[in-house]
Order: sequence, then structure tokens, then C-alpha cells
Amino acid sequence: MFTSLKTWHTHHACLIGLLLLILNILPGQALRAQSCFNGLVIHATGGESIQGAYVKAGNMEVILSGKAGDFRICGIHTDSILLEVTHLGFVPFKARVRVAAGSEKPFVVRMTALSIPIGEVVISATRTETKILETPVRVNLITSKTLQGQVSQKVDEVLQVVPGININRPFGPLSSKATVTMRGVNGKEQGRVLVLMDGIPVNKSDGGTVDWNMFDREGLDRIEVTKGAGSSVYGGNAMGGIINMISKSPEKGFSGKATVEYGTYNTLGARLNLSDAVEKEAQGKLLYWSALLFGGKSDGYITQSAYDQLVNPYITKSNMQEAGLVLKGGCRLKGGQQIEARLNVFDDRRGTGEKVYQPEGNTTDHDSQALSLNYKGMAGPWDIRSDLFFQQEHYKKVNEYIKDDYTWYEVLSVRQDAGWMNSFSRKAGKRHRITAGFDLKTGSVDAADTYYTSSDIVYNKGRMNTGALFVQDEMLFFREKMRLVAGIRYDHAVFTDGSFRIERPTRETDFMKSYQVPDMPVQNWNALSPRISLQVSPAVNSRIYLLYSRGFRAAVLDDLCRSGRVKGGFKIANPALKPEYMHNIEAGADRTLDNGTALSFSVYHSRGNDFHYYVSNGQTIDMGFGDRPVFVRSNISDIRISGAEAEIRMEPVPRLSLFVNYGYNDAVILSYHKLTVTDTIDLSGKNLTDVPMHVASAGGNWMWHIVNISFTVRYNGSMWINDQNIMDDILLRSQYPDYTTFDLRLWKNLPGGLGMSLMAQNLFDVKYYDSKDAVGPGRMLTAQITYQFGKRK
Amino acid sequence: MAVHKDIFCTLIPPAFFRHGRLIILLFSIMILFSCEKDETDADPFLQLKTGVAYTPPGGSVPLGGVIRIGVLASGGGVPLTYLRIQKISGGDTSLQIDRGLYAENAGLDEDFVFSKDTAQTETWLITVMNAGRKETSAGLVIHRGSGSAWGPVNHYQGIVLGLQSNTVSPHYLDARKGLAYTNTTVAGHEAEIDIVGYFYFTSGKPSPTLTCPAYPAAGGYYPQIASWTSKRMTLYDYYSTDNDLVSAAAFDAAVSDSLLVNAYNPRLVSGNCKFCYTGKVIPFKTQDNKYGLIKVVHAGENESGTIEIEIKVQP
Repeated sequence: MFTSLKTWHTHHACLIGLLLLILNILPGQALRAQSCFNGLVIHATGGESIQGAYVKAGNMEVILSGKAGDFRICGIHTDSILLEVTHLGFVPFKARVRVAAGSEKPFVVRMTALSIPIGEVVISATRTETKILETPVRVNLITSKTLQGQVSQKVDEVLQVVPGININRPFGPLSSKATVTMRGVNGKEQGRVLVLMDGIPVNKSDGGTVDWNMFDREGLDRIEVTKGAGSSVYGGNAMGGIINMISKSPEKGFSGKATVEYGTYNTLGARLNLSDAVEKEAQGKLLYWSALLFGGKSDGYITQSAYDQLVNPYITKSNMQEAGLVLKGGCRLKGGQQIEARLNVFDDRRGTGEKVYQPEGNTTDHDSQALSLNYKGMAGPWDIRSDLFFQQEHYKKVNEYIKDDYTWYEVLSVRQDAGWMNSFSRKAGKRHRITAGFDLKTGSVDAADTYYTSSDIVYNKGRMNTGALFVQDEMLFFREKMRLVAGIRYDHAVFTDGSFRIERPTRETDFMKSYQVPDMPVQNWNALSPRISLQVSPAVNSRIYLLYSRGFRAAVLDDLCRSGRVKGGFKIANPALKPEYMHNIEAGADRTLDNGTALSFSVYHSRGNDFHYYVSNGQTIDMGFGDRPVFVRSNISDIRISGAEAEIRMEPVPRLSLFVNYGYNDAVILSYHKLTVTDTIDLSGKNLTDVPMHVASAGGNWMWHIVNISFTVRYNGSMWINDQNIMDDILLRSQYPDYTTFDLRLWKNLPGGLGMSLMAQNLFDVKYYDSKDAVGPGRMLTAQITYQFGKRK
Repeated sequence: MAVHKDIFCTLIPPAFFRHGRLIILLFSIMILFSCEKDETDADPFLQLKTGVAYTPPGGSVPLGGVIRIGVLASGGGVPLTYLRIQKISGGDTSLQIDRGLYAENAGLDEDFVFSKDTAQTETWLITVMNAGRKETSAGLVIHRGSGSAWGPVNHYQGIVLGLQSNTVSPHYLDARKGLAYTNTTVAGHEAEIDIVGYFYFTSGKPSPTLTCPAYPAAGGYYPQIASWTSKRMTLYDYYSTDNDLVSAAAFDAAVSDSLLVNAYNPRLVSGNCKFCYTGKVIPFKTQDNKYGLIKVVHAGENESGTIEIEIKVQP
């Protein structure tokens, strides 16, 4: 037995010894086979937890962080792991992390948000909240960071960093009119692009115009630019895209920011932004308000050409003064309900560069008020959004000049728009989100041109009432890797109360007498706007989409009910003008690389029919200086727009973000239907005016510890001046030349809430001209001081 | 009351009350921008001058004779901004003067000269308007006297004016005397100049153009005009010119001022007459109410060219 025991011992001792040896050599690994690793994913700033982040440890299976940002990985056999955490909109995290045996304390992963907005939520593409790369549509987002650093005086100028955008603001901050268009749509027709303020349309029914001067950048949190026809959710005006300005939401605690600035042409500006939000925890309420007061004035400069200055001794500087107030207040209740009211008041007076006898010479004056009431909430499974709005603009223009004698007349136009917009959205099963709604809108104009150097008064007025229904389904397939959005909208509009008449005409307006229509017939029209788009995401950070949409643009009241002078002749009202339509197909792709670099590309093709164009009716008219052609705005042309956009955004190192983008547009009239055989003009094959074939911009933001730097280089390609693409009488060329501008901003936040900034727009003083050969402002330098006060609770 | 106060406080965020004064200040600033001044309701003043120099109400003037109307007017507290003189004869109303102006405290004191037409009775209606769009009118009836009072004409031939870049020929023409002056010799005669010429392209077409010192564009082509203290206005009937209503033959045959007066239609006139091509005949009226005709003998079509004209004008 002893021998057996000895033999057993000898035999098994080796095994036991080997086992002990193995355990001694690799004690950790044997123990860690049972280890788990706990972690927490949070924002680097603010500390909010991040749900849904992808977490990978070595070769182990990828898991998602939970609602509290927590994750737990078990089955770890080593004392360290290569931990990788990624999430859309954040700089990827990758590090080798030690695994403490038996420790339950979570490892905190702090994720830094990218300045590239690839994980942001947008609403204007579908009227529901969706992530920017989960919506099968091209949306460009200007974030609050970009707004902060951007070199611009006015809100529309901020949009120059968006691919394919065309901004027409010929005189900088002194411009009374500015237009922002995109993707080949004529650069002077704001009515073909829908502009929203917190989802409320601000295009006027009168001319489709937007007074960009009444919005101040300080009050904005971000701007969404949705490309392609958005009529399936928003109806008319959205034919060429949507620009939605989103205002800031007040944060808890009273805070304020005061800004003063001074710059070129003796331009002064000031802003005061106040906000407060108080949480009533017991009642589950958050009450908030904000107030923004802004104003400015400028001595301006002479915009007219050297020739005009020679022949007109009454030319003076075009100047500016303006003030605005935005008040917002609201209440967030339990259950995700929110009620908000907003009031926007604006008044400006801009001199247009000529003065004879009137105290301020020729001026344009906007006296505007906009009021909106918004409700967001839930009723059972339904998300509800309802907006009531009213806006009114008193537009006054003083016009005086001397030619053969002195002429002085004033235009007073009251433009009103009001509406009620509603959307209802709910999930239907796991794969569908249904959104439906209705919109009601009424817009009107009541205008008079009153002469003070003769007895004439010219009146025009009209009203457009619109009702619409829409429905949309957002569908998910294959574990959310495929998304299909299909929607359709029906609009019905009635043009009514149209009138054009003249009281006591003299030589000033005698030639218009035969074009009076004191009581225009009522007109009705309908439009159906479908959209279908498909998106496939082969990987978490990439997508490909395909889209078809149909958009329309209703006639504006100015074309329906006003006759008057236009460049090159006289135009008569056309109350029978029908909407214009555009079919749009588009394909695009996006990819975000591991280092956070975002690549995007879109290509599109649009066919427009019944497009609105001024066409000669064969008649001529003498307005006091010889015969001129008479035009009628008509549905006479078919057009084609083809184009492409590409953009790269990157953060090569922390605190430095760069972008470069390019847009190409080829916009051509395919066919032109004459009104009369005597019309000798044929626009077939001609390019649309005011559309640059090439636009490009590049720039960046560098948050340097010495001073922060922002810069933008913008290239604007050449554009055709007139419809016939021939030499223009005034500019003596057929195209506006191309030009490149460079903007630079240096700014620094100092202790005590102070901040300083120096901004240079068009640093190299490049001159560009409009259709009357008037010159842009050139280089504009602005120095700014800010003071932030208050505290967050 | 306490209940109302509680509801009010619940509806309005408490923060509003803390910062209410600030918000009221913001509103007050906005209200200040909306203030506008009131306008007057007073009527303008109008009086027709009397005296031997002026045609009296009910007076008789022979065919072609001079009708002189003197106008005294003021705005009644605001500027006077409009003057209209209409002639109503044979059931037709024709506009003789239709002028915007801006006469402040001094008002308007001006004489107007017309020619008696063939109608037995004419009613002349003079209306003025002020910046408040208030109007006042006055009128007089004139009868046709016996006989004819057509007068002689001054005829000037071979007048050659240099266009704006021409450095050889004179530029400035005194139409009543038929005298042309250069940049140098015009000194001292600025108040006598009625006509200057220039060339440019407009509406895609070449345009030899006749204008006058008071027309704003003239100063662009002749910068020294800007410094003249007196600039005369000549009104050209461009409608008759564009439509060739007066032939060169008719111009050549005119020996009295009847054609000069009858050819001039005040309905479509301007201080600037474009497209003055060779062979055109242009009716005009000078600042001192003299009717005339210009025949374009030859018009150059470049800035350094010349324009040769013949003039027949009332003395």
C-alpha cells in the first residue's frame, strides 16, 4: 500500500506540481477568467451620460452603453484591455485600460463632442425629430459653435459655409434686401426657398421675401438647411429647400450677455441678451424666458458707380439704423409638454443713397411684428406639435429724384401672414413612425404708392388662403440599417380680393391706366407633393440615400395683383398665374472615418415646369422716357438644374476643426413658350440668371490658448446677368465676374466674463457689383467687446 | 384678491418680476422708434397775377398770340410740391404743365407763356398741391381775338457742337442767339446756355443725345456744369422726334412760328432727347418759353464726334 501510495504520490505529484507551477506563473490570468470590467460613458463637458455608445474590449463582442451610460464587460482574462468607445458626434475613445481585480468601481470614459454635427437632431427635414444622418435627405447643420465663431454681421451671411448656398446681400449690413437660395434656384427669388424661425414660416405671401435683418445671430442656437424639395411636409416656398433657424433655449439660472461693437463706415452695434429658467421640481415645471435687444447704425458709404455719381448730383451715402426686440417665454411641464410664446419686433430705416429734399432722402423702412404661440406635447402615443402665428410688416419706401422735374412718392405696403400649423406623430409598431397634420395659412398685401408731386395714387391688394393636409411614414428595416420615408401633401389655395387701380392719374401713372383691374377674379389651384427617400447604412458611420420629391411654388401676391416698373420695362399683374413645379431626384453618401472626419457627397437633377418668368406680351409702353416693353409674369418655361455638392469636415487635432466644400450647378431653360408671335426673344438654352455654376468655401476654427481664430475663404463663381445671357447695357458684360473673399475673426474670453473680438470681412477688399453696377462694401472691420454675467443654478 | 394674485404669479414666471423693470425699459425703447410726426391739413395758397403783362380773365388773344399766366403760390405751412396747368378747349383737355417741385417758404412765383390756338374759347385751369396732398385751383377763360399773331422766327444754320470728348468744337449753345461756346469761352454766359450734346449707348443702341444744363445727366458729361449757379432747362418733345411727326421739309418751309408752336406737344417732353439721328426734327421749348425746332443735319456716333444742327426759334 505504501508502495502504492508512493507510486500514486509520485505519479500525481508531477501533476500537482505542474498545476501549482502553472498557478504560480499565471496567477492573475487564472483569477481574471472570472473578472468583469465596469464602465461609464459620459460627456467630457457637462457630465451627462451617453446612452447607446458602442463599447468594444479587445476582440470581445461589441456592447452598447445603457440608459445611464453604463456598461459591463465580463469574461476578461487579462489585466488590461484595449477599450474602444465610439458614438456619433464624439471623438472616438481608444485606450489600454488596466483591469483591477474584483473592483466594481466603474471606469469613466469621457467623450469629447465633435464640432462636426453628425449626431445632432434636426426637425425640418421630416417635421419630426431625427438624427441628421438618420434622415434620408441632405441636411446641413450650423451649430452654435459655428455660429459663435463665424465671421458675419447678419444671420444670412453665416450660411456661406453651407455647400452650394448662394447669398445675395450686395451692400453688406446696409442692404435692405437679402436673399439666400441654393441648388441652382435663381439667386434673387427668396420665394423658392422656405425660411422658418422655430418652424414658423417667415416668407411673406406678398413677394416670398424674408427680411433677414430682423433676425439676430445672438438669439440663435443653430440653423438647419434641408436641401431639395421639402413641399411634401411644408408646401409652397419649400420647392428649393428649407432653412430653419432655431432659437436658443434658456438654461437654468439668470444670465446675460451685453455686446458693443464698432467698425468700418462708423458702424455701431449693441446687443443685450437676458435669460432665466426656474425649475419648480415639486410641480415638475420649468419656467423660462429670454429677451434679446439689438440695434445698430451706420453712416454707410456710396454704393453707386462712378458714372452714376457723375450724372446724379444728389447721390449720398447709403446708411442704416435698426433696432429689434425678441421676447420668448415658456413653460415645460411633466410628460414632455411645452408651451411657448414668442414676440419679435423690428424697426429699421435704410438710406438707399439719394437725397434731394426729404430729410433723410430715399429710404426703406420695415416696421415688423411677429407673434407665435407653440405647443408641444403628448396625447397617449401621439406627439403633438401645434403652432399659431401672426406676422405683419409695414414696409415704407420714400422715393425722390430729379430728372425733368422733381418727383416724390412713397410706397406703403402692409403685408400680413397668419397661420395654424399642426403635426401629429406616433410610432406604429417597431418599424413605423407615422406623421400627419394640417396647415392653414392666410397672407395678404394692401399697398399704395402715393405721389406728393402729382395727384396719383396707385393701389394694389390681394389675399391668398391656403389649406393643406400631409401624411408621412418613416420606416425602419433590417435592424435600422435601412430607412424608407414616404410622404405626400395636398395643398389647396384661393387667391381672392385682388385689385389694381389708380386714383387721379397724371403723366406719372397715366400709361398704367389701361392695366387697371379693380376687381380681380377669384382663382383656385391645387398641388400634390410626394416624396420618397431610401437610406441604407452599411456601417454605423456611413449611409447612402436616394430620394425623389416634387415641389411647388405658388405665385406671390406681387405677381398676381401688382403692375409697375421693372428693370428694362413694365410688368403687368397676372391674377391667372399658376404655381410652378419641380421634380427632384437626388443621391448622396456620407461616411465618418474613425478619426471623426466626415465626408459627404450629393448629386441631384431637377426638372421644373411652368416656371415663372417675365415674358414680353408684344406691347410697348412709354413711361416718360421712350417706349419700353411690357412684360407679364407667366408660366412659360421648363428648366433643368443639375448639380453636385461635396464636403469634408475634420478635427485633425483637438480644438482645431476644418472644413472644405464645393457646389456645382448647371441651371438651363429647356423650353420657352412665347405669349405672342411678335416676341422676338427665345430663352431656350439660356442659363438662369444669378446662379453661380461653381461655389466653394473652406475654413476653420482654432481654439488656441492665446487667441481663438476663425477663418473662411469663399469662392463665388460667375453668374449670368440677364435672361438672354447677352451683354447688359449698364454693366457692359454678360456675366458678373467671379470673386473670392477671405474672412477672419480673432477672439478671446477674458477673466471676469469679458470677451474681445476683432472681425475682418472681405479682408482683401475685393469689389463686387450688382446689376446696377453698384459696388459692395469691400473690407469691413469690426471690434467687439462682450460681457457675460449672471450664474447658472 | 389674494387668489387673483396667486393665479397671476403662477401664470407669469417669478423671474419676470425680478427683471420686470428691465423688460419694461426694453419695451419703452421699442415704442420710441414707432413715434411719427403729424402732418398738416392746411390748403395751399394760389393767386394768378394781374397787370398789363398778364392775360386777363375773359381777355381776347388772336391766333398765335401770347397767353401769359403768372402764378403765385405757397404750400400753406408745408412745401408746395405740384403745379398743373391744363387747357380745356373744344371739349378736349390737354396738359400744358405737369411739374413736381419742392417750394418751401418762398413758394412759387413764376410766369408761363403759351400760344393761342384756333378755339374760340379756352379755359385755363391752374392747380397747385402741397406736401399734405391738399389742392387749390384757379382758372381763367380766354377768347380768341381777331386776326393772327404768328410771329417771325430766328433761323440759325451750320451750328456744329462737339460731343463730350471732342476737344475742337464748342459744346454749349445759346439757342435764342445761335451762339456756341467752348469750355473756355462759356465763362460769363452760363445762364444763357440752352443746349448741349453727348453720345452714349442706351437700350443697346447708339444715341447721339441733346440735353440741357439743368438736366442731371449733363453734369456727368460736362463736369464743369456742376459748378454753374444758373442752369437752364430746355424741354424736348421726344415723342414727336421718335415718331418723326415733323418732317425736314416742313422744317425747311417754316417761315413763321406757327409750326414751332403747333409741333410742340407738352404731353411727353423731357430735358433729355435721345436718338437724335441725322434727319430728325425735334420740337423744343426753352426756359423762357420760346418755341423752336431743331433739324439734325448730321449726328456723329462716337464720343469724340460732332452733331450739326439747324435751329428755328422764336425771337
